Amino acid sequence: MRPVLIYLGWGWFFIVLQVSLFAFLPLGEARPDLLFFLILLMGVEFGTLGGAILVFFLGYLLDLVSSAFFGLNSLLALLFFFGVSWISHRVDSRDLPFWAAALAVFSVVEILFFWFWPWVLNPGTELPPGLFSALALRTLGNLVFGLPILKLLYRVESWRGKESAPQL
Amino acid sequence: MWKIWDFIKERRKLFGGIILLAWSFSLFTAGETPRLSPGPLAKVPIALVSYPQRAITYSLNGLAGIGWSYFLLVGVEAENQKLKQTLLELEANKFLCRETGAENARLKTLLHYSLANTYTVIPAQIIGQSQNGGYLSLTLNQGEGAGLRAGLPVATSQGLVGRVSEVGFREAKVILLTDRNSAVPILMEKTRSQGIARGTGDGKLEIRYLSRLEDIAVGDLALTSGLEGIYPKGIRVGVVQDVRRKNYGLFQEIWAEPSVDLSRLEEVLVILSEETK
Repeated sequence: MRPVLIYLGWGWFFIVLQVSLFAFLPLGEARPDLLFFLILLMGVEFGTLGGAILVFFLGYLLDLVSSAFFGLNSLLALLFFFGVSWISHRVDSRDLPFWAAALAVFSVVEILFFWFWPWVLNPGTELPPGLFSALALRTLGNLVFGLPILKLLYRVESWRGKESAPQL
Repeated sequence: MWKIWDFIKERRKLFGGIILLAWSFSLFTAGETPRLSPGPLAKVPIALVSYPQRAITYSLNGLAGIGWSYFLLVGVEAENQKLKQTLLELEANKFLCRETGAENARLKTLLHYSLANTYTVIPAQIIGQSQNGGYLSLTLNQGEGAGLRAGLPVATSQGLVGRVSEVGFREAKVILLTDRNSAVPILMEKTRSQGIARGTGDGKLEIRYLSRLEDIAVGDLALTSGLEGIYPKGIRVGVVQDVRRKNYGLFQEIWAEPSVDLSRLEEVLVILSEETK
């Protein structure tokens, strides 16, 4: 099956889980960004223009069903995808430390965006308390859920006989 | 000409990436302006997500209901006693209310006041929720087909919940009152002074622009003022929890608890219009 359909299926599955099952778990800021685990994998394994278009579509879909700032998820998804794709050609990107570092960086960037974007738009706005706890919780949530999920995704990838990233 | 085409073709990932990034950035910056309902093309993918979302949410609610019904039995005896006590108090109040009601009817007749304003509402169930850094939203199981549109107020019998921000075929997204993007014009029930209730993102409301001279106390009720034209006048918004008056500045600092327990919502009412029946 074409990788684009497989990733589209995974993306749809993760978005549905994120806005239903995970929305009901009392995790607060530790709620993981499931779609971005897939985007990390796609950045490594499917770093093509087709992959970028699919990532944009999935981010846009997440924006439509769940987003405080419309367009934020599609923008973050693309930036994360291109960042991972660029770094993956320079370091060993199929390893646990890379995944952990990528997830931690993403969590920090995402939370900082949510906290500071209203302030950028309106500098008079007071910053709400709890930035550091939000940073810690989101990073922890993404690591605790992200690493096993990525491991599972890679196992599925190897199960369908994929050796290396397809090149456009 | 061909050289330019070859140049672009060789670097299609770069150029494609720049176009996609520019597009998503324009979506993001445009998102700060008041949003319109997504177009027909966007409604199909929303529906593809909302149907399984609905199925999972209903299943989870069903399972949670079975579990809760066991635990709730444990507290039934104590609750029964409490309800009996409440009933006695309500019976006492009923006599007072009957007299007040009769007086109200007489005064209305005197003022040629026809009938109380009522709202046309649509009940909706919550099928999803989202929380991101203090930005909170709900997904409802009613959409365009039921007459919903962006901007409509959402409430329960206890008070205001938020407003509809996006609408699909059979689902709608609601920005909660406590979301950091939310601001509701309010009127203090006791003093009739007007201010703005802003969401803090952590389940509370901050009431702004109330003069230091106003006599606001813990327990005071804030109602919608109806000034902005989005929320009808008189819906409960929150109850004052904390008041601070500094030695300087024009306004006092007030924090309030929403009248509705937003963490335990299952059904809400979308207010379609304010009509006289």
